Amino acid sequence: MLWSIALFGVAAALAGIYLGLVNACDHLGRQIKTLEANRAELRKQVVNEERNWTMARSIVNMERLLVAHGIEMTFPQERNIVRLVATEPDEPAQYALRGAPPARD
Amino acid sequence: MIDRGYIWRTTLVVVALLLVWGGLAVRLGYLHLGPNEALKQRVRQMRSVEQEILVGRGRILDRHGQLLALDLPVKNIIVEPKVVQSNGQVRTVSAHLARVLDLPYDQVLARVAKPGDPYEPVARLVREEVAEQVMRLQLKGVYPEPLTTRYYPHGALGCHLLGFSNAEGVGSAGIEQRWNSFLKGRPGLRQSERDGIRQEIVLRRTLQIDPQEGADVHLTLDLNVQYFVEKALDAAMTNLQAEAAWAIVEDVRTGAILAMASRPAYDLNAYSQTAPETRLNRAVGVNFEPGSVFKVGVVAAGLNEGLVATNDVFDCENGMWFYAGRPLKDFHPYGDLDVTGILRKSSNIGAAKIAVLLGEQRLHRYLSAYGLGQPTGIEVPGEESGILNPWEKWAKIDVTRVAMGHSVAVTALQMLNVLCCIGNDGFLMKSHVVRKVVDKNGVVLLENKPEALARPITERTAALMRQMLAEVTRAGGTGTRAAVAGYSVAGKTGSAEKIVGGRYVKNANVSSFMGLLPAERPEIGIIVVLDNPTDPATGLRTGGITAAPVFAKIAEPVARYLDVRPLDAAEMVYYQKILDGAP
Repeated sequence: MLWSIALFGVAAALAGIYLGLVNACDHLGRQIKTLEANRAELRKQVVNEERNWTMARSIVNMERLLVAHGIEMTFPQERNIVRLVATEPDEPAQYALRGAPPARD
Repeated sequence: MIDRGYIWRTTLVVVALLLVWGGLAVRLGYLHLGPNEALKQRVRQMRSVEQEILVGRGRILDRHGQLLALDLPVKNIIVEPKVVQSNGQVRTVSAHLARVLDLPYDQVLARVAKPGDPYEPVARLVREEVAEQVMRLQLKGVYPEPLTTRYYPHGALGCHLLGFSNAEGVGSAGIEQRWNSFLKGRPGLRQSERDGIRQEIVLRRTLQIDPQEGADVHLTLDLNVQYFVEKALDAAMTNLQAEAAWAIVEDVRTGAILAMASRPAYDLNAYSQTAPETRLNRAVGVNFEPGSVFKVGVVAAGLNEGLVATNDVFDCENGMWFYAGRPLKDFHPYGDLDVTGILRKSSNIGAAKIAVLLGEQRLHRYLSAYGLGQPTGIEVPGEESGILNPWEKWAKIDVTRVAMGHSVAVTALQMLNVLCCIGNDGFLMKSHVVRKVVDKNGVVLLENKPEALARPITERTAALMRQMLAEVTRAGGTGTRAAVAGYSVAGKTGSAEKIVGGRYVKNANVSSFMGLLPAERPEIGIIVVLDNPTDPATGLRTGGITAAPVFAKIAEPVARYLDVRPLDAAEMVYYQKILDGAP
């Protein structure tokens, strides 16, 4: 009698553990699905924001805004620029000879 | 005492129920344990799901990371006319949608009022923000349909270079086509099962291969420089009534393309509504007879061989010279001109005499060394190779015709490379427009470094050429309209009769101007080519009148924007040393 009760107890405990594990896995599965959906949504938002940022700082948009606000802007003339020159200027850069990466690339 | 009939009825019901349950149990046992492989297979098929995990194409960016092409999540706005009509809301829904989607009311109404239609897209590829505005209206029978589309934020800017990918996501023109293998990525795969309401059971996932997203292609292109170029070309198309126009800006020292534009242009987001000829990237895809800009290569060859010096004087025969029994004319008649004068005045006869001194074989060797007659290998599709026939096949007069840019054909990029070779102390650099390709994990898959292909001329020849070409844009030269305040410009004008159907057409020109800035130590090279332009003020069609001002319109803002610095005193001393031939 005692044995059968103990056996039943063990079986019940195992069943309980099994159900608990299934439940936990189900929960994790749902979490994975939710996180996957969140990631997809966030990726969409990032792409949209990147696009908005690109549009905002494009020169076409800048010009449109300047016109909208009645602002006229031009590049500075050479005489308006004060340059700080190194005391020992380099020879003209010749990339093909020197093999160093050029400043603008 | 219980009624016997009651006992019988109860027994009958119990037996019947036991029979039914027993039958069901036997059936269940049979289905599970019996030989029902086909049936089990059908159930497995219904439950199992094999899903391709799609990824977007990689992005295309300019040298400063500005997005030029990307996959953008958008929405189609769908209307169920049946539902809207049954609610009697046709006009209200149409008015709301027309307002939010910025569409003509009649157009929306025509779609919403379609009889018996269960599915009608009212607007396609609408941005998420706009779709959200529509959904906030809570209109019955209106819903968004999510999808991803290839999007080009700047519309027509750089259209010929970027190209486009088609509805199937396959690159079909420009960078999109040539770099499709990097951009397209690789879809992933997921094998799993789904439940009764067709939701995936994550725990039953048996296979998950993550997708490999498309790599980003970083260009050498500068979006702002591209904008300056396209703005100037648009103005030229309008003011000069040109049939087409194209231009390139190149970094002289590295061969990196900063801008490449053609006109007419098209909106990349509506490429399907464009004629194929409009999509032609003329900067690399059109061969044309260059005319006088070609003299640059011929004179440089003569100088490099030591056959002529800058102050050697040639008799330009007062505008008419017979060679091999055929006349050769100058646009204006000239007497004696030194080599600098030949370039400054663009004398055909002077250039032809230098070419004759060089001889056919030697001239051809130099032209080949400049990369003419062969594709430059730039990473865009549809590049033409130009036409440079073997010297053995030249007719006797061809050496004089080639000298002035006839009997040969070039692309604008080839011609610019010749000039940039002069600007780069004689080194011919490989033109490239792709800087690097980077995958989504930041790993650089490919990087283009500046590459010198050849050195057809010496440093001194190059410096002397720049000094002479600077005279072209000064008083008395043919390219004075290309002058840029604050800089000296070394350049050359070109005008050639247009060839249509293999014949020269009178009164139709291809006019061009190419130049280096600043002349003494060039940083940028620019070429402008105009197809059949006419200056409205003078009625002239020459390169100096039509293309040179377009060059100036491009060069001025580009030089300011890139902060191209005029030479200081120490650099001028160094430059003078080279000119003097000092070791």
